[in-house]
Amino acid sequence: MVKIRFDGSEYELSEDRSVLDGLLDQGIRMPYSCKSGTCQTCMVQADRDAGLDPKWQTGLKATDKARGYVLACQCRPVEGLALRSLVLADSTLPAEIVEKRPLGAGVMALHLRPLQDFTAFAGQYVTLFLGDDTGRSYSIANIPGEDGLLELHVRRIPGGRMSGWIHDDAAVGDRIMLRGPAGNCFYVNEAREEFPILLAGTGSGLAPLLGVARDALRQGHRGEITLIHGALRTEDLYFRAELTALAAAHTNFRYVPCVLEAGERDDVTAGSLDQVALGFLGEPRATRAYFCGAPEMVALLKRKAFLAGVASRNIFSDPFIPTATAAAA
Amino acid sequence: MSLYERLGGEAAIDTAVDLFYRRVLADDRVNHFFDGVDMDAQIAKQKGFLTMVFGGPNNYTGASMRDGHKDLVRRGLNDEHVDIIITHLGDTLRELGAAEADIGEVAAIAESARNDVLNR
Repeated sequence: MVKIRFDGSEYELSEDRSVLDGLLDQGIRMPYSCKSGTCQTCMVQADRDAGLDPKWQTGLKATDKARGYVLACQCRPVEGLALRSLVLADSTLPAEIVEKRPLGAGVMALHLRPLQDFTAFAGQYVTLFLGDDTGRSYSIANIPGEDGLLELHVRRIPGGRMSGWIHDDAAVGDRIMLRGPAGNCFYVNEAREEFPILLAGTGSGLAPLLGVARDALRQGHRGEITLIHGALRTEDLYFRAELTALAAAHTNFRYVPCVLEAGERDDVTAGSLDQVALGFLGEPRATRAYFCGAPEMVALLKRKAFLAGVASRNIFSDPFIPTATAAAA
Repeated sequence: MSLYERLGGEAAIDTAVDLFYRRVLADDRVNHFFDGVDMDAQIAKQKGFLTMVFGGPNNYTGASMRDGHKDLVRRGLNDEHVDIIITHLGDTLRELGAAEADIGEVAAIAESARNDVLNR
């Protein structure tokens, strides 16, 4: 028998059976389905300090591996193993507003300083809480490890409670509760491989794409990075000057503002985001693609990129869950 | 050696799932059944399906097959669509260089699920 920890409690499990079977036997309720390492329903997070057997992570995305995710049905109990169910993996902590900066197109950059230890990858998202009942998720546009701050892009939603508060009422020095991080839209390349990165999104879906691009560039990514920001009209784009400057500073970074209803004098690529993005897909088999923003567009981009040859494990997107009514947003 | 081992086990499923699902999504006769379905969730389900028809370890039951396809049957899923899926399965295996005898065995396992899939 071997002692392991799961969600903070200790359990004695037999070495001959999977962690999933062992925990189920002890009456622990946890989700599972195939028990053969394919459906990924029983995924849990392991302490990365313990040695993780690569077999426990077979078939997982690189981003899931980087977060220490393992499949409980493939996992064998080893002494000192500590696991957490994914719903409990995130923590809630206070953060202080240190800067508010309008970026244009109704988007406000909100810079937060977490007041407790907090680590996240650029491009992951956090959920902010206003009172007990209003929680909204925003992606991290900067590299939190650099200055300890989180840069979030908050688009004003008509009648939106959180976005209204952030735009109109929040002041530097105010505190807010945040939970996270979550999501698998981030850059991971431990083997330092060379591959093209395609980033495409709409609206404030730019924030995670920017986070991925900044992190990739900071880590000296080799290979083309193309960021395509799509909008209905040119005035819906934001952060253009900064992205243009980033492209000027890095030869392997390309910025493509893409507008559906472009005016003749607008200095943008005219067309629908999915078509323009697919046009930049030079080597689909090698490409890692990140898609963020409006859910219908993200679904379309994922499907088209996959059909064009991008491997499913190399397509990253976060489920942007729209709030049921605009008034509650 | 079992069919599952001959086909290359789990590693083969990882490769096969993209090839197979790409064929299915590109086929206008069946791809409307996948409209509005999240691709990541679907890929995970297809891996479960491939594990089953490759003769690998799986927990699939007739009841789960029936439940999983009930809505699709209501939307018109019929024998013709099952035939198309089994053809794509065979073509995927051929692309991966599987032996014809093994492809036949996989098709037979898929065939055995036909009545459950179609809820008859």
